[in-house]
Amino acid sequence: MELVMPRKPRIPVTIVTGLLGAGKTTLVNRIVTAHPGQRIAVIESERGERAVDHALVVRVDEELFELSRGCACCTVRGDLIRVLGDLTRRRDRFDRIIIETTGLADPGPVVQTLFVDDELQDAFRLDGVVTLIDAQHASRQLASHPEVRDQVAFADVLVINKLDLVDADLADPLERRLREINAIARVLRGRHGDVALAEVLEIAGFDLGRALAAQPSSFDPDRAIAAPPHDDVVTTIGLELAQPFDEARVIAWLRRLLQHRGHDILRMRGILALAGSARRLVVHGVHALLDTRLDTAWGDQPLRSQVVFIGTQLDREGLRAGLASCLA
Amino acid sequence: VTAPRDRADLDRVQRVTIPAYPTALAWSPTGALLAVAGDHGAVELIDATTGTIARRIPAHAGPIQAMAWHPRQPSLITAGQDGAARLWESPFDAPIELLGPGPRWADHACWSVTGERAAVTVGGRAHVFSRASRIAITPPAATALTGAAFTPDGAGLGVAGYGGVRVFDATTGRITRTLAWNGSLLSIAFAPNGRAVAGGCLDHSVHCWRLPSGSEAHLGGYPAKPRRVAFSHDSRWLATAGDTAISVWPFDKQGPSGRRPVQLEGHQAIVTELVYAPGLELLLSGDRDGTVALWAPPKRTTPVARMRLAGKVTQVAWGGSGAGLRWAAADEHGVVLLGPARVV
Repeated sequence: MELVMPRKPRIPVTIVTGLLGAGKTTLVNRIVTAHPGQRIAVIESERGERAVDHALVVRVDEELFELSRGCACCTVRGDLIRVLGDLTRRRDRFDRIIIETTGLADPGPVVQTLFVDDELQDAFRLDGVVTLIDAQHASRQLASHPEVRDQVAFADVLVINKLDLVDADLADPLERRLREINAIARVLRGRHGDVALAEVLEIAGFDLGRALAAQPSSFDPDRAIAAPPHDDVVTTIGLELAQPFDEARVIAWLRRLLQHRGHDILRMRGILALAGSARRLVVHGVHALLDTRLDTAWGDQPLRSQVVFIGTQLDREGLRAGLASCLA
Repeated sequence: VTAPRDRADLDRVQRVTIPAYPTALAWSPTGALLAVAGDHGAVELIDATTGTIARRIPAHAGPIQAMAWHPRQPSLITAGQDGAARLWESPFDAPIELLGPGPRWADHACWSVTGERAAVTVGGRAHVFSRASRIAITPPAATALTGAAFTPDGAGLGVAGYGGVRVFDATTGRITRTLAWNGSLLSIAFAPNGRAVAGGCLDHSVHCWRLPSGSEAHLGGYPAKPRRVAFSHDSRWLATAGDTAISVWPFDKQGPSGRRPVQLEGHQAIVTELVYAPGLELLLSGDRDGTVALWAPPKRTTPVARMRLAGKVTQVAWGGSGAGLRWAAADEHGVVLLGPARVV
């Protein structure tokens, strides 16, 4: 009989992205200041103004590596593999890691790093990607910087910041524009990063269903997804299926999908009902990488699978048909 | 030194607990002192005879990343997350500052075989010292260095990182050899005869080059990162971690390509640490679950001796030589086992 070692709880990692001037450092400092009793490590790529002395601040140069593992190729952050690895080699455990990227960084490699490295996967879990948007410059930046679009697409939380500097009626159209790219992120509005921290942290377990329900438009099958005017328009597609899946088939299908379409699919998240299992299967994809784990039981709630894809050139009906072929 | 038979033994085991996570382990040249560096920024010097902590050297602000004894003298180099590198000479009261604190971590430290030179890496650069003077600094690599080792003749310094191995002239810092590979190396080890260099890779493989030809061999199939690799004293074998079985690859004239390694079976968990004893076909290894094992490869593929620690083995080390041969192993809770090794 195998002796199962009790696993230490994994350390949550929050990734904070946004262009220079969007307010990343202010938000990170707020998180650290608001948790004086916690051991927090901040990994930063740009020198930030740190008014906090109880956090460990590690400065890194973002090192992008191509890594091939099995049949999936991906780009990872070599500096994070090293530094996060070293942070596990100490007795004082961290309660949280915050990774602040450079302004123009693609969050993809950061997330992929947490997915692909087995040592890091044992020790850390992605809590969420928080993207700060400078309300003053967002419209222009979205047009001029493809990196901003990717940062929005990858976000679990979008903070529209510096709203005190713009006309009040600009906020709604900006939020609508962001929602077109990423329909499932939680959107918060702030002035100096003064958003409720409870909305920014511990979001890994947040309810995908609720996020989708709050955005009925992304779910309306009748809503024609206009053929994207350009190939690189990022959209969200949400699918819901009532019957349970065959576990092996759906995992194999998702894996194949991400391997073939990993370039177009930035992120994929889903909560799936499985035939013969009382527990939810949580799936999480980043480009070509897939992470799956069994989560809590459905209990009294109706079994209802939901999958969301964020990416370019997504074919709703094709994805639905593919998923439907994996039903038990 | 006689070649070990099957009856080598880990004798008279002593147990010491240090108040830290052990990040580096190194024996003094005579095997009289075991230095244990930790995440508390200090070096604990353990008296091998009494098995007690004889001395604590407060060495760095923040965790120590690397530590290395001079091969012949009682002096020690430490490198830390504070970015500093320090040379400590007996009686270890005040250090000679090789590199002052800085924003980047000082990650690796090593001596040449004779102890004439030492090297410390910080980020993408390696600094070479002759006693307290810096004599060379390598041009920066685009990414941080993951290992450094002098060539066995001491004339060159090899560094590992993303993109392969580069060898520099140890006195000028000029590049003398580029061994390119499209991947990320995690470590570097030269064969003692200087005819090969190898490193574990991020993508669960080991990459090696024969020297001076530069012909390559890529060894795959590891379920985890084989960070530690070690050549036997006669340069005929390469032992690699990264699996529950230790693979010992033949490194004779034919090389390892297309051949099967000798598999050492006895660990239940992934082996993370391993090192060959100086001048002997004796291998010490440690795994993620706390098992420490002694091996006599390639002849014997089952452990000669085994010992248990409570947590993940963070370091293993050999020290001394001949009748004074000693071993040590440390786990994540700060428990250190040490003792003489009896080779019958």
